[in-house]
Amino acid sequence: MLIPGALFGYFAGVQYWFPKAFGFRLERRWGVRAFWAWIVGFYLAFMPLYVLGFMGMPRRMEHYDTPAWQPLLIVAALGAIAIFAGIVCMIVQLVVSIRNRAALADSADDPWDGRTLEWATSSPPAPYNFALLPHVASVDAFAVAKASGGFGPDQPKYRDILLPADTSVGMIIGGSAFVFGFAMVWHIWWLAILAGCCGWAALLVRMFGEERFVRIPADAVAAIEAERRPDSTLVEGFA
Amino acid sequence: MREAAADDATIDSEDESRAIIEQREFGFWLYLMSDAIIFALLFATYAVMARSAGPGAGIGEFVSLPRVAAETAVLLASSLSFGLASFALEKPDSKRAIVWLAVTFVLGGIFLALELSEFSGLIAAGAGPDRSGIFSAFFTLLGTHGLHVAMGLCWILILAVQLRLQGPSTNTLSRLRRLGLFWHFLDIVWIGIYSVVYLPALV
Repeated sequence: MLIPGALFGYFAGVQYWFPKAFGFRLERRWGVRAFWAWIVGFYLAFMPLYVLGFMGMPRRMEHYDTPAWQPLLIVAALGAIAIFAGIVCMIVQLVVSIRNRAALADSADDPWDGRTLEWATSSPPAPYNFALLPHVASVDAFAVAKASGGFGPDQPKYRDILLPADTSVGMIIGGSAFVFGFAMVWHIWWLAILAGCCGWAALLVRMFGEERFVRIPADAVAAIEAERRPDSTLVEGFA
Repeated sequence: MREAAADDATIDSEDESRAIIEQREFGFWLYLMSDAIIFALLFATYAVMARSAGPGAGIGEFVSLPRVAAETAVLLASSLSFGLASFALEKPDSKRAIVWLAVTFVLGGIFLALELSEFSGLIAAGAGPDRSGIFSAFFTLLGTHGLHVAMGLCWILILAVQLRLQGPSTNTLSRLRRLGLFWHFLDIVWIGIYSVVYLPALV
């Protein structure tokens, strides 16, 4: 149930938001192949297992002595092969997409004619996400603005944007917490103490250090926006 | 972007610094809400476990009313002393705030000691988390709350040191406000524990 219930959702999310994160779409043909391999493979692999469950087969057996299970298990094995083909298709899709990224980058800002606000800014977004905060007056404000064609002022007034400076502390705390959790699960006490101390040390550095900021001046924001969205004034419509 | 931005920037205006503080407090509220969801799930788990058990299977025979009363009293008192610390810092009198934080720390420490003695008593009586689903849920719920209190104590300690070093600055004031949200939130959770776990066990 995890495969169609959760994993397919993750796959859909990756296909949908990949251009948001990386600025180019995933290649379509290999995506379609992966889809068919996965969906056929899933049904072929798991439906026989449900039937086998009714026939009394427990899960995850190391071996079995019941010849009656054999035909359905062979069908399930074929399904597993199809799923493997799906995995291969996805890897190929990723490689092909990266290779053709220049061609796949066109209209990556809004490749699906999206309705939600994340598509109103460039892909991948600038460090500040939105140069001007979108003004939301209705459900699907981005879709409404695109449909009405009323994009607001021609000359957006950008302002300085103050951002927290990059810091590695978050990575260190997260990594330490992961190692700490792992060590606690497996009772590796020395590692738990070490990771706990690392995490706390990073936290204390963060708490007692001076907070640093980066300022992006208004004209730099304007330059970034002009470079990233040369042919569009969409985003200003939301100011 | 890197070439466009200066290496280090300073906060230029009151507006900017207020916006930053507001963002932080909003973020902290988001954290508290997600924490509330965790506690809601633990409460639900405990309630389901306790309700579906037969008579005498719950924590009833192990509850010591005086201890629960004392735990409640010190925790509520610590909320009061925390409030007094907040008042003192608003004045701004960071020395007095540190004193009230110290009182809060001691009260929170007493609460934690009482809770740990309850836990060790239960485990010694063979009623540890491995006894039944009810006790697993009980230890998970109360342990999570206790862990929060322990982290709150660490935070109080750190903030007291920062107050000592920095005095009443925008930073320390905002941190004290957020710690206050956290501390009072733990109080509310305790009221929930009192009403969902202990009161039914006593009836």
